[in-house]
Amino acid sequence: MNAIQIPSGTTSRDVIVSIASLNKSFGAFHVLKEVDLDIGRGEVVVIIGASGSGKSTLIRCINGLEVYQSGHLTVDGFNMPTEADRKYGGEKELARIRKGVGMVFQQFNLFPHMSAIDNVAIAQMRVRGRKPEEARTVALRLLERVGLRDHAHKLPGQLSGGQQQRVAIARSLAMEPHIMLFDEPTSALDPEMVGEVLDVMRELAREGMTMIIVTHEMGFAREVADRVVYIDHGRILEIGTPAQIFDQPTHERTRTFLSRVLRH
Amino acid sequence: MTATVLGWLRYNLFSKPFDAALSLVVIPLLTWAVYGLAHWILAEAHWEIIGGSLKVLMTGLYPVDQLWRAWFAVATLCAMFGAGLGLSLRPGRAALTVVASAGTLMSAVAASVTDMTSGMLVAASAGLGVAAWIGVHHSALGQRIVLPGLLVGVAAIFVVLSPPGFEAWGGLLLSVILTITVSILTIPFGILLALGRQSRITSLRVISTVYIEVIRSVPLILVVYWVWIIVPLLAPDTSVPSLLRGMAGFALFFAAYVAEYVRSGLQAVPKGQIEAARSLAMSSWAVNVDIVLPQALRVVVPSLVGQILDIFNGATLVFIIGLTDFLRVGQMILADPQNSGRTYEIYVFLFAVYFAIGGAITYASRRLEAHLARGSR
Amino acid sequence: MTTQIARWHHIPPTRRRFRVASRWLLQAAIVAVAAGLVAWLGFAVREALARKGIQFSFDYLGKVANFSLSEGLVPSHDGNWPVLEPFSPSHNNLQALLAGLWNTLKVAVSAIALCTVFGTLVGVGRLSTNWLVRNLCFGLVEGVRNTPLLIQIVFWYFAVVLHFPPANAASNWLGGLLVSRAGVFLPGLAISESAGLATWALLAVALASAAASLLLRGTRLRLSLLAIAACALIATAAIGFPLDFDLPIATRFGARGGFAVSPEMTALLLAIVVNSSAYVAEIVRGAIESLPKGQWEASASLGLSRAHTLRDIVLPQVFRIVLPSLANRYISLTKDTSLGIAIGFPDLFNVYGTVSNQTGRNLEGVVIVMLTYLALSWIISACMNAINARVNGPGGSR
Repeated sequence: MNAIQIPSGTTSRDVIVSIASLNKSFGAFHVLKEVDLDIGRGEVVVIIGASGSGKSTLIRCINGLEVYQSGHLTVDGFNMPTEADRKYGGEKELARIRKGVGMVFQQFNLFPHMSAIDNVAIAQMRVRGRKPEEARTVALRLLERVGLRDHAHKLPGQLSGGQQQRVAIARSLAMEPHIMLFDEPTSALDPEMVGEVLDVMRELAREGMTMIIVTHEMGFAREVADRVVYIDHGRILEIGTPAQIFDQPTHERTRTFLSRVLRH
Repeated sequence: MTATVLGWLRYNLFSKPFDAALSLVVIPLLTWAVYGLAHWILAEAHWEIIGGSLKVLMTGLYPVDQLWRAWFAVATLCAMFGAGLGLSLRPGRAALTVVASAGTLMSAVAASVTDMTSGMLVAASAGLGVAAWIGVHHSALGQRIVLPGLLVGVAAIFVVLSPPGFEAWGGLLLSVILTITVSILTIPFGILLALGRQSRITSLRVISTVYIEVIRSVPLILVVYWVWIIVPLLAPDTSVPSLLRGMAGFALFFAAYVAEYVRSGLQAVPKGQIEAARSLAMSSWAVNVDIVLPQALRVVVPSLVGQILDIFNGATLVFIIGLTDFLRVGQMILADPQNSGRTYEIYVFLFAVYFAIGGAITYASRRLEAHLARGSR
Repeated sequence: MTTQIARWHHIPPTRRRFRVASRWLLQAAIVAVAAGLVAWLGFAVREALARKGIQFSFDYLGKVANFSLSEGLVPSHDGNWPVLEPFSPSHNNLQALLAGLWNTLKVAVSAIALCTVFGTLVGVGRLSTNWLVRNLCFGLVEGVRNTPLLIQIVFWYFAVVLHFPPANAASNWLGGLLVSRAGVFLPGLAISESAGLATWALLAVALASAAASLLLRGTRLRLSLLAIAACALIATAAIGFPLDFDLPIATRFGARGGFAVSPEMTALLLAIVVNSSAYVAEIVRGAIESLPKGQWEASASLGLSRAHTLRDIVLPQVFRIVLPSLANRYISLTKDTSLGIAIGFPDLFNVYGTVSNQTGRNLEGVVIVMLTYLALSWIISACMNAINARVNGPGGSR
């Protein structure tokens, strides 16, 4: 059983995401095996691992983009339905859960036919029912927060990768989520743009947002994470503080992985 | 001046030995063909037959004293076409000049070939079309009423043209009305079929898929003929005019193709878009209407406009159910022993008109595709 | 912060049962409506036919046709062996439909072969560096695609083929090809009576080896098979070739000997080939242009000429991309043969129409004809999929 190591300084904690004995398969391919992980409110957890290890799948299970077969998954106080449950529908229930969970994708996935400000405003209007002017005011404020106020009326095609990702972050923040999920947010960016996105994420962490991040940016993880989780072939192999994982990894495979990744 | 011409010739026709050889073969053949054609057009051909049969070519066997109805239809069609243009194309100076000169040319031809009234009516219709174009483009209200306006226009045409009976419809007017009506009919039917094909309800999915695959494997002429035969058997007491039966056959056929275009449009929307929208807690309705549909239309609309050309070209098949469209009228004219020597004149005229209309539709489809793709770059 | 008690929100069992039930109900309703529609359709039609005294049955296929077709071969037997013979009014309706199918296949197969070749040429021509060739091909493609196929068919027949020289004054090409308004006559193959078993055996060996060398793999095996085929062929020629060219000789109404192509088929074939070539040209051109520029740049930097680049690098890759679109085009082409009815070519649709008019059997006929066209489309798709698999298979993809 993977013990939950509570970082020093906190005694009790609000568990906002609770994963117990989670199993997920794609057909015959068993991708997540008996995953146990609890994440507390305000915590920043970084998940690392080789490609194909299941880290993206895990994070996508948390907001229901992937279904799991067995186990327990509680997000923001809601029970996430299993695959069997999903047969009875459940889109409406999932939408309710997703109101509190924001997701930032590797490929940004901005809506290409809408300007930046409309991208940030559309969900507010459709889901929270806000009026267009109110939604746009909030959108402008969020775009300012990520440093893109001047680009509010540009189409995604006119923005650089880093700018698009920052708009994507603002778009998720517009829903006032309790948890933000990041699926390799900087992997599709040119090196010079990675920094601007990480700056925004650092700021979010400082403000106390609960963040679950899948990334290869080890320097960022060391700086910002409360805990680092290493996943290997669908199992959580090690959890610990950044210092523990990066400087004194216990498992052999963790050491191998880190040596390969940290070389450059 | 000569230097540039020679330079152009060298670069474009003689730059490589193989090209030079091709040019040496093609140029004499081409000159011979062009000269022969020009000589025929200007000197030998007897073009009076076109002028004399213009009324029949345009409206078939429509009673002459009711021609004002046909003119109403023409004017309405011009207005509808102009309104449609106003939605997508800006009435810039260049475009307006082209359309205005085309309109003037056609009214001049009409006036010289038939009489002054026809010429003026053609000019008036063209003017109405241009007015609709400018009007719709510059007013938001105009843009909102275009789509319902199209339906009203078609209904009006039907109401006005039908008193002499559907059997009297013919010629180019028949081809155009058939094309427009069928194009409008296939859209809702096709979308329903596409949604049925994607549906999670198995029976609906199976029925839609079977329908689409069967229809796409058989020729249009078979579907049109068969519907024409079947309808009187199903409703023996009411006599449904051939035209309506034909339209039903065309609509049933082309709806399957619309369904496929819609399906490929839906597939062209990257899955990430739907995931992002769902992650923002948007409901299925909001996801489909705000995110999927606008992006799918980008792919679907050019195909739909291309299909208008397929329907227009397919309209020639109505000969099989006894209707006289533009092509059939030409053949009927040639069947008259008096006109047996005028084969080439009639066919050249038919080809020219079909090519003008077909080329215009193809051009519009390409411009539309470029215009829509702009947003996604 | 205090630990919050998780709010257990899952779909309650009652609502779950309701959702399952409603989904089944919806399915049942749809099936019922569809079945009801089909049943009503079938019933109404049967009713209408019964009123006319006709029953839905396929017996009419065995009845004598009593009409003639201008061309078409049917399988029949002359007592002992199955044989192909021209259709005559004494054959039955089924054989009439088979004759129609034969005619359709004649045009479809020839058109597929011809339009692929011609279309590729025009498609490559569209990209020629020669301005004239480029624009002529463009003009041809646009002219053909923007006008209806029917007018092209009718034009080729009434304005071209029927203006060919009359049969007794047919123009003679290369001594073997006669072109007249009564048809086009190609040299045929005549079997000479004196051929013995040995000659036939040698010929069979030659053909078998040639075919095997094409289908099998392995260079040495293929070369040896080709050598066997060549030897067998030479031996046959030495003994005396059993096949002879049967050159057509013009007569007043047609030609004696040779292989005849009726004027209707000539016109239909010309129209469909020219028409489909334009679409094939666009498919080929689109595929060539979709190749990454890097391919051209790499071959140029290797010193390959444009022609060599085209033949060795570009066209093989294009071939792979082009197969699905070509399959669609071939299916459309096969369906287009049904327009032959406009010029009196007795294709499957035309014969179906004649048989239906004569016997009143529209429904049964439509079922047969629909199934036939479905089968033809399916066969073409299957063949193209097989070729696709072979081309893209072991180590060949991308």
